[in-house]
Amino acid sequence: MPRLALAAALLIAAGAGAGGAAVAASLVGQKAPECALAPLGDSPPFDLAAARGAKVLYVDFWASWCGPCVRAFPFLNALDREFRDRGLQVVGINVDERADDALAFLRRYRANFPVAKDSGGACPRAFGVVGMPASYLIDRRGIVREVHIGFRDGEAAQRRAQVERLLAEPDPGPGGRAEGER
Amino acid sequence: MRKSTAIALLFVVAGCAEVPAWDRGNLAQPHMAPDPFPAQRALLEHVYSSREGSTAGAAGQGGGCGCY
Amino acid sequence: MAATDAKPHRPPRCFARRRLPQLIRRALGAHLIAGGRAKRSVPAQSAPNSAPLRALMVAALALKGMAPASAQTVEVESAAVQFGGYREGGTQFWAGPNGTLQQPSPLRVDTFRAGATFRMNDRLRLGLEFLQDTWSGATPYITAPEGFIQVTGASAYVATDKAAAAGRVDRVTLVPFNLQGRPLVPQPQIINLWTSASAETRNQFRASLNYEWNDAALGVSGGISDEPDFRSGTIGLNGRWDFNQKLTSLSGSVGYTKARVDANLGVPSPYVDYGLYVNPPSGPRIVSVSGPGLVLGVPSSQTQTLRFQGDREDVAVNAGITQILTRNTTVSTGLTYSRSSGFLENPYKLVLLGFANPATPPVLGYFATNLFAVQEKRPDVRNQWTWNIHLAQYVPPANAALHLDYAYSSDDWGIRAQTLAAKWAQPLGDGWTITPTARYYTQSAANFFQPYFLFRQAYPRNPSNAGLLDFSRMPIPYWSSDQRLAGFGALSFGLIITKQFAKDVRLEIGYENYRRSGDLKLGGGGVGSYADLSANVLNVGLVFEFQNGPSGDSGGHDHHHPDDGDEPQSRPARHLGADAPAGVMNAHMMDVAGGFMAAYNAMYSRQSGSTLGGSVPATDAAILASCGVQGCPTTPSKMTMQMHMLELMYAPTSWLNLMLMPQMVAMSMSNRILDGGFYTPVGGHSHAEMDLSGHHSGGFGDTTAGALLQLYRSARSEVHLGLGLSIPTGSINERMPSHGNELLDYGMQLGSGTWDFIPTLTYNGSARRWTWGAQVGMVKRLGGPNNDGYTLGDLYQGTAWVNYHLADTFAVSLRGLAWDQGAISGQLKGTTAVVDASGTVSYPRPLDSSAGVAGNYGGRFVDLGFGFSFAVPGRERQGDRIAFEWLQPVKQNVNGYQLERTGSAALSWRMMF
Repeated sequence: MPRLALAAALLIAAGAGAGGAAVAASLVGQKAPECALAPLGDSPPFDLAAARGAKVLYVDFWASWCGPCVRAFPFLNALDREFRDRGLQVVGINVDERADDALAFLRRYRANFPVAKDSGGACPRAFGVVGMPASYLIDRRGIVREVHIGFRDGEAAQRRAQVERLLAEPDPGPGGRAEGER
Repeated sequence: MRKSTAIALLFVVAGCAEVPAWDRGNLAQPHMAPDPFPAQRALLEHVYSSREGSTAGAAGQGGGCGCY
Repeated sequence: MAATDAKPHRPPRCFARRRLPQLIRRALGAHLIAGGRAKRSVPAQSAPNSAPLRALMVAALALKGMAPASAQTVEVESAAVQFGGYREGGTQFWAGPNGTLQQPSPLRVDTFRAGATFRMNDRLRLGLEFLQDTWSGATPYITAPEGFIQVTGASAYVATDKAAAAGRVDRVTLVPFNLQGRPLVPQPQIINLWTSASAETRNQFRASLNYEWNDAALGVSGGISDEPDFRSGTIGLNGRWDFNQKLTSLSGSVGYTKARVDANLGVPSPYVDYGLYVNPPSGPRIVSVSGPGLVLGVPSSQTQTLRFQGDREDVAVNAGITQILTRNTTVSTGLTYSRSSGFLENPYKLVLLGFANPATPPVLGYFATNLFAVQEKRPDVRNQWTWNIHLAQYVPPANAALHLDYAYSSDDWGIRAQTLAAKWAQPLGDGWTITPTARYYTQSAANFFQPYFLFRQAYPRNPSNAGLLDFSRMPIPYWSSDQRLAGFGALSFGLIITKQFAKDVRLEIGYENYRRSGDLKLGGGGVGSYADLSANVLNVGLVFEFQNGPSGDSGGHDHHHPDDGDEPQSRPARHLGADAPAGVMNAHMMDVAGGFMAAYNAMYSRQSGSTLGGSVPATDAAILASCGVQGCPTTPSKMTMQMHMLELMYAPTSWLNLMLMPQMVAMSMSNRILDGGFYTPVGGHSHAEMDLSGHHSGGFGDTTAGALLQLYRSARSEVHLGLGLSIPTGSINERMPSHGNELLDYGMQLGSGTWDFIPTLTYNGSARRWTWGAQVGMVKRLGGPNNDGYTLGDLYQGTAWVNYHLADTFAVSLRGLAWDQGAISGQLKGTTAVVDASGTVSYPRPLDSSAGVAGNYGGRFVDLGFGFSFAVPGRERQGDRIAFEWLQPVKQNVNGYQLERTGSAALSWRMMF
């Protein structure tokens, strides 16, 4: 009997945590969610919906308290610099509770790509963020193609290759772009 | 309460907590780490184990006696 | 002791960052160690402004599988250096019936710790740690009621006269009588008798390897610890498994330690019954070892000292769970089981066993009590369970974190303990955090603990020796008076202050006041106040957490902002002196205002082999003659010295650097008997039996503060002047408790005892792959003799070196060093006042070794140094460097008679900010 209770508890525990992961996993192949972003500090406002278009979108959720984000930033800067002309749009969405923390982080680790914030949690929830940082690669048709949770230097090559692949895909034109859902 | 039931309850409690990944900013603060001052703890634990009978004990956590 | 007594100061080496073209750095990742040559061939100006070219290069490299943000490079992740001190006090002191007993010197421990962690790749982390602590001072070795103690002059000992029954206890209550002849008191005072051992230094190395998956981690660790009486090795395994989006973590660990104990009990004491451990069938044993010493006042290489030897094993298993409860709360709880077996006794403690003989004639109103002082006997095995729970609560309005800990432990020795601890970590803004801490600990006594033992029976006689015990017929199986096993409570209050500098450096200062007393035991019934103690613990450390991005994009304290379009620089003049060998002091200046440097320097030197007189090996007769009329029984056969220094340097302007360098030292000396040697005691103190095998000393040394001033600088060369002051923070009161508490000799003291002025003049030059330099300097003792009655000689030194870069990040060096260490003036003061015929009082110090002769100090020396240095992986851009140098003695011409120097090694790890 006790063993059964233990097993049941473990299942509940595992199941409860699976919710977010399920959303994130199921996003692959789906249209990217819509969410409203607020400007961060002095940076210009960023419209996620408008950003879709002929561009490949690399959405990265970051926070000032997230260790791997420090290592991800130089990689994102590099991606932005190398592929911006080829149609890649990198955007960093900050989820800090306090904007000051995010701005302090930016002063220290420069971001050459647009940043915006969503401290309410609607955007990360829509995207099913289960770990920080969380990156979503959205192709030219507005479909989520890759989801990455966390960041390690060793993954940089693989992500770069994925970006290249998506950039190589033809632009489907205005008619072929999926409109945002929800 | 039976020990096994208590452990099971702990797991259920585990399942009930819902702190989304993006909302862990406060928990990620350096002073919220389970051991915010490892250098201090290491030195003091050695002091305690040299003067008390139960803390880790000599050679408990690795390292020599250094008992004084 | 030889010229190494100069306590060489290690003033700051300056350093300048190297500026590499951003593109090159990205293109090759951080493969700088191997890639030096390739980088050189890229034209300096070509890349930064040419985006398409850059992109092409990057793409080309990506195709080759070498991503710009390389994943497989070794990088230093963090480093830390810490100095700590523990000072005990608050112990009850009994001055004896006539107040003649001396207050024992309080226990003191000085600690030094240095460590670093490296990211071997994305998922693998390597940690290294070195720890050294030296403890000295008195510890209680036996506990007895007042009436059982005999006092003669300044010595007190338990009256364990084996034949006579020296103790008296009440026939009914068994309460010991107060001092002989005094009326009975209901509670005789219980007294600790103290002994001071020679200082002991412990060195410990630990290494750990940790692998991380996305939701789990596994680590393996190992370490060795070495101290004169205890050697141990540890291995451990630990793991962590996260699930539930990392809301829950399971952790577990297993550790195994094997240790060998070899405690030096000194010359056999007639007051102790060693029978239990002499020739035991198994387990720990006491053996007799021959060594240099005095037997009946005559030097002999066959002096018997006792060693208490045994092995012990410890295994510990731990399982825990950590759970995030709310966005502001985490809780973790764990269970640990540990099992210790083998030699678990404290070899240095004795236990008083008293046998009140009921057959004592009733006309004497007491029981005659036979008293025995014996070694402890504890069970061979100890099983212990500990449960702990920890809560971390974030408090949003204060931005503070509250930590609460509770632990409960129980073992099969009868010790039940509880701990309750709290910490409030309060950030104050601007990088400051202040954390008050409090801890309460309570434990119940072990089943076999008592201050002393009293039995109402005749003592079990040893069949072969009536004055000794028969340990097979003891009324109890185990006995110990070690206060660690008593019932008591301990209360401590502390404060931790941290300040974050730049973004990489954090200063941590921690203080705690600890008080242990039987009064504080939960539920009462704790040990008496004779076991009270209090202690102050203070530590100061620097923690470096390097924020390395793969492109070195760490921003921060760069004097040139890292930017995509950064201009590469030709090799700037401020590199000069950056590559001076590890053993050179004051060689480098930072030449940009606002720069900060921290360096860990370690040095190890050794003397062994022949004793030299001048530059040739000397005869024992000559060495003996140097000791003069009073003679000396021994001469050193081996001497070692370790120094661990933390060099801190700050450049308020581009032409001035300020420097501070605290250090920790540890010395050891082994002796051998001189042919024809003899010993002359002073002041009627006879030391018929004495262990002269050697001594140790260690602790904080002198602290150097100073400034470097730029005199001249050009593109290829520079000259600077160093002005340093050595502050006598190192103790010169290190003594030999086994030798009448006399001062240790000159070389074994921890400092010079005087304020010393240290000027240096340094020249540095460079051309392409070569750098070279030269330096002259001196140490001038200011003021008169120190408190011990002597002044170390002045030191004059000159050195020159060349350095060749085999690669950008690896260089080798060759150096010549010559110095003249002046003779000592004055001499060590003894402890006993001697008044001569004319009424002059002097304090002659008896010589236990030729090292105690002031004339056997100083000389002229020439060394050749061979070294290499390399950039710290991951910090090449900042110019962090690790250097190593071996100094080989080439010529030695010593004053008097000294053990020859066989060489020294220097290690330096420099960090630039």
